[in-house]
Amino acid sequence: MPIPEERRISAEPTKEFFISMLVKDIELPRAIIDLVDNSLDGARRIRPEGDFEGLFIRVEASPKYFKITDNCGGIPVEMARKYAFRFGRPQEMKPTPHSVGQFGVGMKRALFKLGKAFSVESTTRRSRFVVSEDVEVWKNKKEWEYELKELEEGLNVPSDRTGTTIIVKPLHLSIAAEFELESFQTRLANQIAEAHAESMGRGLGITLGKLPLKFRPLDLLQSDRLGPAYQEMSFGTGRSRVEVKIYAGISESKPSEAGWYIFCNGRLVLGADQSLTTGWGEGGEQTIPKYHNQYARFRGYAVFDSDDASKLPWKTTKTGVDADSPSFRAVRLKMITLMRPVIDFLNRLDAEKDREAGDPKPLAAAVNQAKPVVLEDVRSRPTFLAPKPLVVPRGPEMGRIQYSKPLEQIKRVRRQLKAKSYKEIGEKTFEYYLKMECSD
Amino acid sequence: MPGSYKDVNYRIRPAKSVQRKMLCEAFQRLSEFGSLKSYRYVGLPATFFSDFILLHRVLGIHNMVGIEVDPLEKKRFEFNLPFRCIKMRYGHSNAILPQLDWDLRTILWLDYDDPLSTSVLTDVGFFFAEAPAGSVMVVTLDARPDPDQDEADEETDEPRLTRLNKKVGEENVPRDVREQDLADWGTAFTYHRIVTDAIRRTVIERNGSRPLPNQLVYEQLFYFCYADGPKMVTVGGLLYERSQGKPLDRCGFKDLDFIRSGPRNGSKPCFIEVPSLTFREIRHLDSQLPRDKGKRLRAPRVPVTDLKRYERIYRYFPAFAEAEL
Repeated sequence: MPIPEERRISAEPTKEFFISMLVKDIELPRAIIDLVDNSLDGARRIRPEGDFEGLFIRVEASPKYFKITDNCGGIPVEMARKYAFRFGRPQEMKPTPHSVGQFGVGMKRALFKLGKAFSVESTTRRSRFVVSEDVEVWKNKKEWEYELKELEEGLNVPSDRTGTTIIVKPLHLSIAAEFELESFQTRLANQIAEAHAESMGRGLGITLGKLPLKFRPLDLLQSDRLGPAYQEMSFGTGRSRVEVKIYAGISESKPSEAGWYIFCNGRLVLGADQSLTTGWGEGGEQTIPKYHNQYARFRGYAVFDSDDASKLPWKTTKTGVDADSPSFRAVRLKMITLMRPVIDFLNRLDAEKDREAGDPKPLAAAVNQAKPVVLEDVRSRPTFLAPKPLVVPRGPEMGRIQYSKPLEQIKRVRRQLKAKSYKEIGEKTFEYYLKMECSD
Repeated sequence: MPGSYKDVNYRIRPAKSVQRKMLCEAFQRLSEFGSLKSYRYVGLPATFFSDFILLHRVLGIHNMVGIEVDPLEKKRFEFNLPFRCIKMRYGHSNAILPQLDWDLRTILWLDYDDPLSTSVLTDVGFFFAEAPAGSVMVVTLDARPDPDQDEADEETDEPRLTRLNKKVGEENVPRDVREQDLADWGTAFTYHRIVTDAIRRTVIERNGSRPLPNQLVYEQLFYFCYADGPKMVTVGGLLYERSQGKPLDRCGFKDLDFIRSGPRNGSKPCFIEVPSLTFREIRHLDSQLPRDKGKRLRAPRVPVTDLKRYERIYRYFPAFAEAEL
């Protein structure tokens, strides 16, 4: 029964409110990566087995316009009519298995954030459509609708001609100014490459501007004596089954890259995390210490996969994990268990540095011998494998000498001694004195 | 920053001297924004104070601040102060700049002897975060592909790109820069891009809180490359408000041949190359300049390239003589 006029309170959202709320939620590079996610979902629809060789996504973020083009199969008209342009994902929609575009906001949010007008053109094997809209005009219309400006169905398009092109033009002034910055281009390139390293590893080519993105496969050091922990877990059944692979080990010493990496359906959602979210500082630092640069070699990867993307622990912005989700909490416990032996090893490795030159350093030697291997080649092992600390026979008791001298004098002595380092200058001058003045 | 004045007499670096006079001539045009006397000059003087002397004499600026990193050199600097109106501050420019009063229209010349680093970008960023409209910043850098290594640093065979990434932060290096792009003058060109980008980024951030007419614009004016010895690069320009119109036209910067501004012209450096000429040749060439179109400069046996170089800089050509002035 309709509410009588005098008793009716309007609770309809205004578009203005909706748009301004949405775009504030997300950083610019992340909004663009959402569009890349959508293209990738296309790739997953046409290549469910996950071989993306020959597929590309090309992004252009120029001061005049934004453009993303792919050959990833296109958006079916039916999907465009019912879902792709809606805010939020309707329950009845059949999701793309293994999808990364999960929440039904990514594309719209990105379009509004970038500019004042957009067009989306998409071609599949059977259909082709164009939606274009001036956001300012659309905002003032009452209806929550878009029009398919062009529509063709019942086509027979060769699969290499399918794909989607999105253009946003004109851009908001502030966005155009950002796009002009070379440092923004660098940041965007790094973030896209990081987010989609997994898909690029499967052959997907992504370019930003004229340059292809460089991707570095995730790796861990492995040898007969040193090897990462690698365990698998799973929850649920059928379509909503979640499979998790957890790796903990060491790699190159690089503080900015150390920490945990969390992936959901191949998409990085948390990178190089060194916070309590992934266990650092757990148990008042008793269980796991807080991150410190002596752990710069630590790398941990937790890779979540599910056909039903809603079962994965990500947030709508895909930045960070939903720390309260039951599956993440269970996995986090396992992460902590696996990382503890790595932390202990890195502590021992650090302590070994204080040994005198010439003394054996078995841990450092083991690290240097180990080779980086990609995750697929990591051997399954319940705990981190590391050489036992050697009990070394103690040599003569050593002392350490340290002093400062005027640089100009140091240079003169260094030249005379042909010494390569300050340390060598110290040792050679000491040995010289010992030989010349202290012979028994 | 410290030290090189001990090795080289700043006044006899000819290209640097030409650049100094060109900058001074450009600064004169700033009177559109307010009397030059109201400007403050902030610089890194070295004991010669060449820039301070020139700007005080020619522009009449008397609010002058010199920054010297080494407080132990204080006595020497104070002894060499050419004018009473110069106030010296001792400390690192990263620390001193934020201590100054930034309500004043300022000409800042960060005349470093160092390669580009995050410390340089900090100074540049600070200036553009604080300086009022009408201010000008110039930064000069050692742009050798392989600058002197720190004595204690034993890793000397690192690729140039790796070194650059470490020195200025990977996120600041443009994506398309490859190892071979840093050879010869390439390091200078890359520094120009990185500095310009850092300036633009700061200006964008600062504009976030300003209404459109009051938004600030960075207009590059200077992009010099020269090598009295090591390769050097100078980048700089003007900060103004949108509401102030088009200062480039109004101030007449465009009449000056060495100005480098705008998307196309701004990315081509002005090379200052000082030909080696005798006084007699100089006087002979001067008598033919400025030249009518179509007329050729003549001097017996002087190479054409030198004639061209001289013509570009003759008004700023240094006259060195062995005399105490």
